[in-house]
Amino acid sequence: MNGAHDLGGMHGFSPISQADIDQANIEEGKSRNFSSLWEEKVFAMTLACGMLGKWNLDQSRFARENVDPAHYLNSTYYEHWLHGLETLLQEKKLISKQELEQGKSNSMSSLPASLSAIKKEDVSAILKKGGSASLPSARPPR
Amino acid sequence: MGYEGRQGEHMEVVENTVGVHNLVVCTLCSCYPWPVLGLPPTWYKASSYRARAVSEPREVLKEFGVELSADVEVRVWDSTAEIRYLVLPQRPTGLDHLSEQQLATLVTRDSMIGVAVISQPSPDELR
Repeated sequence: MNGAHDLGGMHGFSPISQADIDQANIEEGKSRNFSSLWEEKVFAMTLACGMLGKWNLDQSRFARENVDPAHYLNSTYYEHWLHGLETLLQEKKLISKQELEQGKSNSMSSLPASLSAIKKEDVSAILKKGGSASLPSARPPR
Repeated sequence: MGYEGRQGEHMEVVENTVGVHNLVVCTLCSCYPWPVLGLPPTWYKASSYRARAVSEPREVLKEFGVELSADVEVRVWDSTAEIRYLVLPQRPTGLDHLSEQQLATLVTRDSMIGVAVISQPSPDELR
C-alpha cells in the first residue's frame, strides 16, 4: 500500500505537541491514549465489530489506508479508524449507507443467526489469546 | 516472562547500552506491544512522531528531554503488523544488587518505547 499513511521520513511536520509530552511525564503510565471520549468509543466499536469475525486485521488496515491522500493527511488518527470501520461495515453489508447517514437501524430483526456479538466477559480471554502470525514451514528462511 | 496476547504475539526486545540507544515507532499506523505496555499514548499515533522518529530521531528525543552524545548510536525500530519492538532501558550504574521487583519500580513506559532513559534514582525511590 503506497498511500499517504506511509509517513516514515515525510517532511514538514511540526515538533511533537508539548502538551502531549508533558502529559506523558506528569502522570507516568496515565498519559492520554485518546484525545477525547469520542475516540475511545471509535476504538471500542472497531474492536467489538472486528470480533464479529467478518474481516481480519489486515483488511481493517487496508480500509483505513485506502483513502485519498489529501483526506488521510487532513484527518486525525481515529478519524481514519472511523472511516475504516464505516467502510468495512458497508462492504460486509452489516449496515446500509442510509442507516449510517441517518444514525438509525432499519432492521426489524435482531442480529442474524450467522452473526454473534462477543460478550463482555469473553473480551479478556480473546485479547489474551491474540492472533499469532506464525505459520508452519518445512524450509528454513533464505 | 509470560506476556502474550493481541498485538503482542511476536515481541522483540532491543537492549540499550552505553553505546546504543533504541527507539521504537510504527510509521504506518501505531503498532505497539499492547500486552506489555497497554495502549499507545496519543503522540505515538500522531503523524509527527511517525514521520520524524525514523528521519530525525535525535531531534525527536530532544523534544522528550533526552539528549544523547554524538558517540551514542541511535537505532530506530519500525514495528510491523507482526512484530512489536520493546526497548530494554539501560540500568543506571551501581544498581546490580537490586531485585527484579525493585528494578521494576524504576522502569517507565516511556523508557520501554525509547523516548526516556532511566536516571539515577534517589535513595527514597529505592525503598
